[in-house]
Amino acid sequence: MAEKILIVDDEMDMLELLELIITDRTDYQVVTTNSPLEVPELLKKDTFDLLITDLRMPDIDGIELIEMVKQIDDQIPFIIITAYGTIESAVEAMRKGAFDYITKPFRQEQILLTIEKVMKWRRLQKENMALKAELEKIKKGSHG
Amino acid sequence: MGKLKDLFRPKNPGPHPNRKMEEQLRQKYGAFRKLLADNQEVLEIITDLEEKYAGDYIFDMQYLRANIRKLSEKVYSLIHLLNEISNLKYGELYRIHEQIYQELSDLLAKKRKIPVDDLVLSFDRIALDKEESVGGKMANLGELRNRLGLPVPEGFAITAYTYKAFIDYHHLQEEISSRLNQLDINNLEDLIVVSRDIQQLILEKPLPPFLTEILVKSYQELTEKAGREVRVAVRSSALGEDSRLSFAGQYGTILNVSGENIGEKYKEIVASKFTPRAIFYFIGKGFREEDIAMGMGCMMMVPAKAGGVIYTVDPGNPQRPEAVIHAHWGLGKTVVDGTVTPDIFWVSKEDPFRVVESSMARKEKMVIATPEGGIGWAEVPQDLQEGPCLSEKLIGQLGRAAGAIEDHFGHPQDIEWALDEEDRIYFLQTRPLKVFSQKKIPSPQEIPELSQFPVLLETGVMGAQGVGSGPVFLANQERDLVNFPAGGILVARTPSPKWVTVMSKARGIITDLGSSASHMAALAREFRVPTILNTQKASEILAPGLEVTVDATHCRVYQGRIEKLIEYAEEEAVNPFEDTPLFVLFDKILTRIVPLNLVDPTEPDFTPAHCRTFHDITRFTHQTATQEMFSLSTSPLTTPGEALRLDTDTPLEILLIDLGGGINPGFKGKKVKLNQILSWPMQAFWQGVQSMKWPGPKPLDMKGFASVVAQTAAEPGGENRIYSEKSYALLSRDYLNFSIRLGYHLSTIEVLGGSGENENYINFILKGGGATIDRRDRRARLVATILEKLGFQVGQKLDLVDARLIHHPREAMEKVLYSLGKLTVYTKQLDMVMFNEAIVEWSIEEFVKEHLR
Repeated sequence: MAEKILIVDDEMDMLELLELIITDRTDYQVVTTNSPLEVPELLKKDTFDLLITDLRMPDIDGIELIEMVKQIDDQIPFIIITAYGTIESAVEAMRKGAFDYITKPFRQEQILLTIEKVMKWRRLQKENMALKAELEKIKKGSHG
Repeated sequence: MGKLKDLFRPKNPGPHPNRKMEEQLRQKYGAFRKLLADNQEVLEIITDLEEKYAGDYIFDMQYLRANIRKLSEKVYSLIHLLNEISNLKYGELYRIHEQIYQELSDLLAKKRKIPVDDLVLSFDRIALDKEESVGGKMANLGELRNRLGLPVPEGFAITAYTYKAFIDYHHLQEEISSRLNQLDINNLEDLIVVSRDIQQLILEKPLPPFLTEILVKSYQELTEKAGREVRVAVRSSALGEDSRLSFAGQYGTILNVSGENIGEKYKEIVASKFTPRAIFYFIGKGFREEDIAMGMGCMMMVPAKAGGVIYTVDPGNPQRPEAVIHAHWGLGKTVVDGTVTPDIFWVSKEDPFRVVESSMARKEKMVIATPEGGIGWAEVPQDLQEGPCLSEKLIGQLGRAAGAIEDHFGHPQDIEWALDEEDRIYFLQTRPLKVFSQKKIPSPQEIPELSQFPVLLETGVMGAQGVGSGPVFLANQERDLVNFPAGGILVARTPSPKWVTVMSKARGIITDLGSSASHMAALAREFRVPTILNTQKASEILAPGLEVTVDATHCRVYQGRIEKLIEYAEEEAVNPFEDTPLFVLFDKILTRIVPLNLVDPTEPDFTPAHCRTFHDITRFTHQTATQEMFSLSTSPLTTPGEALRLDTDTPLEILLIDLGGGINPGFKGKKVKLNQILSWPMQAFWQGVQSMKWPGPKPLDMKGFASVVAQTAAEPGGENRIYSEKSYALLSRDYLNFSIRLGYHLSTIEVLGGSGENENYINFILKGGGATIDRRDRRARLVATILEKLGFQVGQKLDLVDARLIHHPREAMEKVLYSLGKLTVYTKQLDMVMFNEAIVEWSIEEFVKEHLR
């Protein structure tokens, strides 16, 4: 099953370029939305391996979005897109647990590398969780 | 005597007039320095925009808006500063700036105007220039028919203007706007309701009589051409934004429509502009809905025996040289929709258009136009199910067309075609094909074969990316370009926009000096000539005629021709974002910014009126400001006034005007010694002057016709009379503007250093003389030859020498200025003795041997 990425940005152009390049250069599936308020709904309907979000959006900013996402899925890694000059907020996002941040405008290679890094970590995380579950089962079995 | 003076002295003397003049000079100089800094910044912004446009970066509208605002402000500042320097000579530029800025603002605000045009245009009146009226789909079709002469079914397009006329006739705009204005597009229920309401509104309105009339007339003309009742295919064609909206509606194409139904279908197409998806899209993208129109094309149905598509490049394997054809029996719609498995043929796009490979499908069902209208499925006859649905000859014809269409549009195309019962091919549509090229020019470490080739150069900065190979051609002067060979690699000491004359022939450009923000680099990017700048030594290392391969992307020059690298270059990197709305808009924006139409300052069209882009204005202001500054010192003051005198052993009277930082601030007095001068260009130049013995009057050759002035010079005391005229030098720490009158000729030297090598220059002009014109011409040639040896770009015409040296670091400039000082003294009145060519040669040799370090 292909791994899935959810991209949130109020700028349609940004969504489009990111979607184009990720689907063209990787095997990941991409879902995009320009409405951050839709995100909880999307997360409930589907499982995502990565969330890429813009930091500055009209309805709700990236930091608030992270808070909201964590309520639903505290395991999902995210990458923050910031405009040049809003590094402070990016730092705050990192404190909130963002995996990495990237400053606009950025090179294609840069975002692809960052995604690859997160996905590797994500696979390890999943493996780890699976092993833990396995261990739990064995423990339960030995007790039973 | 003193009393007499008092009589004429003004009662209330204001500031000394020369004080004011000097202050003005200082202001001009300050404006000039700021202009140079702004010019550099403008070129950097343009470079940055071009870099983003190349498709390696991801950015958003915010980036575009911010940069274009900054660019516009800077270009405005350039105009303002030029007018400050030139006493408001170039007010016209403000108007041009305003016009370009307005166009850019409209583009950024996505404001479009629906152009006024005829309600209907028959296909013979359409080409790409009608895109704004009929949409990209129809404009491309017109281009195929009228520019390429390819067979396209007869038909007509209903223009964007008709849409406006229809909406206005029923006063619908207000109703539509009020509904859309209250809509929150993120609320899907609302979106669906509003969409349904607006579509209903449109569909229930009758067609205006004028529209019914023109549709009936246009359809009649079609039947007359066909000699029978015809059915048409109706295609929506959205205008005023981009191609995505054209299929946002569900009515991309309606096939097999009868004449009486065209009007009804037209309303459906208009309504399709307001599907929920389409509304979400144009509002979400910030388009103004009233500026987006729906157009429609009507073309005769081809009773297709077979049909399908051609991709001029195989999307699955873009490296293949062949076009790929997908074909099936019946209407090509099935192939487009992917509802059948088609036959596939790979065909060469070059004569003899051979079929290289094919894969046959079993074809059991097909779609046909039904007699009662519309379309339906039908069985493919048994005997046709297995074999190919196209003959080799027909495949060859499609291959030929694929090559022609791709060449014409300049990038890969996705083409729809149909074949009628008489085996005649018709083209129904062509649009850009997105091909993702994942291949970039790999780094040298990734290509092991490269180690076999000697690396000649590994320095410099990229001016324009890419790879090119060919023989080295050294150019020092513009006139050298006459012999530039097609496919050559241009190697020059300095970048110059004048190299543009060979850019269409060059496979690469390498210079010793310069930066990627130079005008020439912008031109190289426009012409896609791989360019490396600032290598420091290319013109010394690369021998003329030597075959080299230039990898500008990695700033390397190899000896020999490296096929492996050239292959990468030939697969021109396709920008994956090319067809996205952002890039379509970006492309339009750049056409108002980047193209440089004003290349040569000596051309008559180098005027404000010919500036069409921000780059033009930038080039014009920079060039003109330099010229304005150049002429400053030729007659700055009528009387010496407050200017300081240079303490010199020469008979020259030199007045110094300090523009700031040129003379030791602690200096008191009237005569300035050289050691009090902080201006390094003046120091270097004057040291050169002082190192020479001041020559006495020249012996006269009275056999030839020597002019009266020459006589004067030879008379006792004549020297002093000749030099009684004053010379002015305007100085700052790293600027010199010095017009030096030496008897009967005037040399003007202007030097600027310290603003970064890209802005450093020395301008030198020499004009006049006291001897006859042939001798003055000889002296000018002598000066020109020596200046070329010093690295100047030189123009010479009779007794006028006009030379320029650019992009050199300060140390190199100091050396050149020292030599220029020597040359100035050496050639003083030398025209008098230029009896013949031999003397010219001898003098050049002597000067080089004795005085050039």
